[in-house]
Amino acid sequence: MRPPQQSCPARSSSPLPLLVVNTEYAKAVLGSDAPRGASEPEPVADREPLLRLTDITKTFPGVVANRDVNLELYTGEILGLLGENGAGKSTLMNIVTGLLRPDGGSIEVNGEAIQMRNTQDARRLGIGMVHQHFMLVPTMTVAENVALGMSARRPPLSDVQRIADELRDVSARYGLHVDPDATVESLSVGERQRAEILRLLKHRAKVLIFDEPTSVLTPQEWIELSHVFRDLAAEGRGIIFITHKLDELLGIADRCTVMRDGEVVGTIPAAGADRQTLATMMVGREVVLRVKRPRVPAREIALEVRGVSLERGGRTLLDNVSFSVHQAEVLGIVGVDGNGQSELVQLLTGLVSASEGAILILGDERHNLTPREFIDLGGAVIPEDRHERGVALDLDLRDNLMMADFATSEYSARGVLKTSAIMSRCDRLIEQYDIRAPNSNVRVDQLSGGNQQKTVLAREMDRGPALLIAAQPTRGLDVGAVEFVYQQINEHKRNGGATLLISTELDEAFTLSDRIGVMFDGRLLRILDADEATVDEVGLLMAGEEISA
Amino acid sequence: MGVFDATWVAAMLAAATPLLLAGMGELISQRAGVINVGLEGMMLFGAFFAYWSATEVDSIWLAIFVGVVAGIALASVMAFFSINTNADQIVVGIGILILSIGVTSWAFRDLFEGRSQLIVDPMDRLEIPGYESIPFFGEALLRHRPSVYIAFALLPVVWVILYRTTWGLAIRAAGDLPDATETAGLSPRRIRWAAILTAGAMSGLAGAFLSVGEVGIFLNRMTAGRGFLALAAVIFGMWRVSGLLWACLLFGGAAALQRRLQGLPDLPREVWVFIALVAAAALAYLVIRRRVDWRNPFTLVTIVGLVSIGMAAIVLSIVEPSISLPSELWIAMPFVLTIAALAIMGPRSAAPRYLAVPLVREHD
Amino acid sequence: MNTLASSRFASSRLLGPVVSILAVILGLAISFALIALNGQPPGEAARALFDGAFGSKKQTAATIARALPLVLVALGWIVAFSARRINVGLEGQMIVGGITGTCIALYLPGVPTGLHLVLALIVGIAGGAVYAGIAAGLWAWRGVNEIVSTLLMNFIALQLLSWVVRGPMKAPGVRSNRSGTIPDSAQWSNLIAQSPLNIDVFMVVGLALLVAWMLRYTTFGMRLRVTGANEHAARASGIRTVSVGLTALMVSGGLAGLGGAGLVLGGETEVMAEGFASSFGLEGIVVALLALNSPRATIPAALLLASLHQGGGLMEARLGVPAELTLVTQGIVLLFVTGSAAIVRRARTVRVDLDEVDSDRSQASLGPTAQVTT
Repeated sequence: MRPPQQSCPARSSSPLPLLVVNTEYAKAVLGSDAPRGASEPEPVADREPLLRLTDITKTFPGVVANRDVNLELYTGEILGLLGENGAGKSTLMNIVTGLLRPDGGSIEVNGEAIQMRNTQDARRLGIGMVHQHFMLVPTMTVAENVALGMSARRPPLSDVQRIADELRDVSARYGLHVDPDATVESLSVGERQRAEILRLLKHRAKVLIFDEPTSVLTPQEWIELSHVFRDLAAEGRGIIFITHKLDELLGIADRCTVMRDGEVVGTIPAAGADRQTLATMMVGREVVLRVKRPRVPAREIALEVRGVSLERGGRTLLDNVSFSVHQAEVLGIVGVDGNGQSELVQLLTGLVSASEGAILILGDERHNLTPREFIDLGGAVIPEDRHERGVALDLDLRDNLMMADFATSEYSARGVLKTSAIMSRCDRLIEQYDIRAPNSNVRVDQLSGGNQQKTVLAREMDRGPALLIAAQPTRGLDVGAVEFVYQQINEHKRNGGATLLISTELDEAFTLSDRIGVMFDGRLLRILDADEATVDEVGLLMAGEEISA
Repeated sequence: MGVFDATWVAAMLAAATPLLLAGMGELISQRAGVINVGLEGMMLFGAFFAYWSATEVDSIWLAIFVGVVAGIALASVMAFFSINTNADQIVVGIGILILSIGVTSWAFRDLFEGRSQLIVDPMDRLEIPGYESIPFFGEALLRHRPSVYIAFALLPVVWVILYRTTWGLAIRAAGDLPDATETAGLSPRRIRWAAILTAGAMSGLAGAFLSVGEVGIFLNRMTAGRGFLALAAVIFGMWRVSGLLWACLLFGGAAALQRRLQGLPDLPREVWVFIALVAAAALAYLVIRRRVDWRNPFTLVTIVGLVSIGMAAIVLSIVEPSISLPSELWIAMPFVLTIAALAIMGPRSAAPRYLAVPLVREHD
Repeated sequence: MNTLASSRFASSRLLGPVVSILAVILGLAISFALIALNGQPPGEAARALFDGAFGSKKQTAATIARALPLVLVALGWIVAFSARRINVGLEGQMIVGGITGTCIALYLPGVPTGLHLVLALIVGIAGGAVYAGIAAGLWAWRGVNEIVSTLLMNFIALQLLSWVVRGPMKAPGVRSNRSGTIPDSAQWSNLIAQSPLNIDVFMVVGLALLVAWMLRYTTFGMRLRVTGANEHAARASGIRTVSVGLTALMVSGGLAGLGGAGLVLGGETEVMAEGFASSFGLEGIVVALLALNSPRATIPAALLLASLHQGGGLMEARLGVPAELTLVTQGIVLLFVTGSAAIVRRARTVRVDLDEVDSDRSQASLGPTAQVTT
């Protein structure tokens, strides 16, 4: 019943792919909603969309996650949802699946306006989602996971056996090979994803949403998955898949909706779509240079990374990454979150060990580091999640400022802290870094995000480090704090320090960096000179498109 | 068989009964992610309130029912504080423990002290007809109080609940990945509430069987650490029903043995053999089921230790010296074994991932 | 400096102690309500409670004497908790400390007074520390949850004590199960004659202040608190969090061990018998939580709980109210304090957004066209 295996998924120009479909089975599974059938293609515009979102708006304190979003999904189509982090895709999908309630706008399924109150409503309406982080209980079998929350025929006895048998049928039908009686923890990542899809199918989902499905798959597994998408769409279901990778998007989607900063930039058909256009839609914006980048002549190499790879759990998180950062230089690394940047930072700061490769900090070659060694070699880091790694929320400002240096001879003697030296340092830092707090005794969780970040900055920069690693340093900060951070980085550069800037914000990278590198899928694709690089080029790289040199 | 005669087997089963009952409830609770340090307190509640009712009404089963309800009542306090206020489960458990000792001791002394001892007729042993005719097993298995049969009968029921019902799915998911329950449309908080109340009911039952079913009177702190033994049994049994059974039999057997040995001057030979057998069983279990990692130094130490214990025990059984092991060793043994088992399991523990983790809601 | 913001911030810091006091009031209120429901006069009960604790000089001395081991146990909890290690095995560590200390007291004859006591106490501390160290080591090297191991080790220690006073350390020729009499050279001398209050009151108060000072003003204390507040950040700052946790647990055990040794060596009975540490382990944890994990506050909190205990005795003698009612009070207090903790934490996290006040100043320096040359 399935089309023969091809090396790349067929993409036809008609709205519905021409496939042979087992209409009887489809009727049984989908109920009376038999697919329109390949024999009756209709123009897209005349049909009622399976799912329509109109003017969806959702605001969180301080940020508009979705603003007047309009989106349509038709039966039998695969819609790609393209955007960077923070574009609002996840929030939108959480609304569609009932996890969040929109502040404004409406949702229609098959033309009928509906009220989505919770996840059960969504499930009843036939909307299901495969999250990026699977919602599978590791110690239970696939069948048990699917049975979770489903009403049984003879309660309280569960129908796991019957569900397992049904799953086997569905599994064979779509070629989603996974043993329903296997425990999830024994499955590979690809198999787990298949289990999630089976769950959606068992719940008779008509709208299937996939959040970054390929981040965990091998290329071969992706090809198989794309076949599954085609089959599911052919039956009359609708598929939305969220991604930031152009290659995959164009390989499978019928249409593409691009989101940026909470709004829909546009929706275009995938056939014949220009990649550059899409990339620019995804990232493009005017880069406003508010802070002038100081030009300092290049010097020796402060940090060198040679062929570093990181494997964990069978997955390659970093793939042969090599680069160097010079003194008095800012190297900015951009890319959509989750392409290895976090792991790179953890590696460089000594929190994880590399599987292969070497790191040289100021000429000191190491295969692995401890955090203390990183600090002693002259490193400083602004972590990307200040609440998780940057500040200790329950401690006061003074403790947070002193966290890394309290044991040095300057601030302690024979185990006893030198209070006056510490106090004067804290006062100086508060003044120098403009940390708005009544005194140094205030608990850090009472400070605003900007001041918390300033605390981290103060602590790290006061050491006079040779190498600064700044990971998403302005995330969640107000304008004033952002400016401050930029000034500090430039100051550090003028003093001869090297900076490795990791950022998802392109304008930030362009504002501060001398050179810009792009990470994608654990690889460092290219390093461009910031003066010559264009946003378009970088956007393409971020979406996985290798551009010619 | 010496010491390990039918009487001993019967005593083992009887001693295992309260552990099994409270342990089954606690197993359900821990699989859902809640640890009940106050389990002993719920048992005490059951014991006292069952006794109190028994002095007022004539029906022993009604009194036991009251004991169960009392356990549920105390459990609801635990559930409220640990789920609805998100307080630390351990600390709340300590509070429950102190509270229960206070309430039961105060109420008992207030109501019953000074009066002539009101002893209630405990449950009679069922003497299943024909027990005399079956050698050994008749005496060992067929002459127990109903509480024993109920406890062992509930065991497969609990197994079915955990592994064959929708409730069991929800419980296991709540302990290992509460987010999955929310995605499936369930409420992990409600699941935990139900699990804690179950633990309360079953430990209340265990306590009631103890005071009303066995002894006939309530005594201050009469549960004497059984609640904690049940807790240890759940952990030693690696959070599985079959494991719980073995743990309770082992702990109960040790308790019965300890009482038996109190009268004897020397440790009889068969006890040494028993020790050797247990060491051998543990060794076999580790090697066969756990696929030993020979490079790990800790595992090597454990293997060597077990082998030496086994060999020493065999030697001692042949020599049969005139020494006796202190009874305190037998009483402490379950706790030592549980910690040893945890140490051997190491970081790859089978504990529910979200055990003792409060459910904090991030959005809305 | 915005004084309005400072005062808003200051008031949120008072919330904790207010909750503790409210908890005690609630606990007492419910207890007295129970007494009244029982047909006994609550007012007289309250008076008996007070008299039992502070009625006479001797009673006050007894109350203070009881508070001292509670303070030590509470300090033990606090030190471990600073590094986010939960030590529920304090009672077991007390027992082991008591046993080892008593060994030195009994079996090291001919040591001059004073030195004998000091040696015994040191060994008591070591005993508690090592006993806690077993659980700590299992945590550090085998990932065994220290809550479970310390909890179960309590019972092992109880059996150890039982064996010891019936066997190896049993006083010869005496029917009851107890150790030999502790020689005077190893005892705390009385502060007030013929009372249980010894000069160890100064040591304990000193230790409470020492622990408070240690947490705030030493590098070790810094390591503890940073590890406890945010393990990731601590590790990133170069702190070796596993050794910190291990040390914290052992110090905790040492404090409990000191308490145990002090109970035996300073007690009125001058012997070690079964149950000498009973209920101190749990009550000490209540003290620590009531004191909101502040070392200095353990002194008033311990006095409060000790007075409950002592007062309960008199309440029973005078009115026939069973003294165990004070346990009910304790339980309610503990539940209320810990239940409110979440609310207190949320209230304290109200962002004092001082940036709002000064934002007009910062905005002026920006502007789409301004190019801030740095």
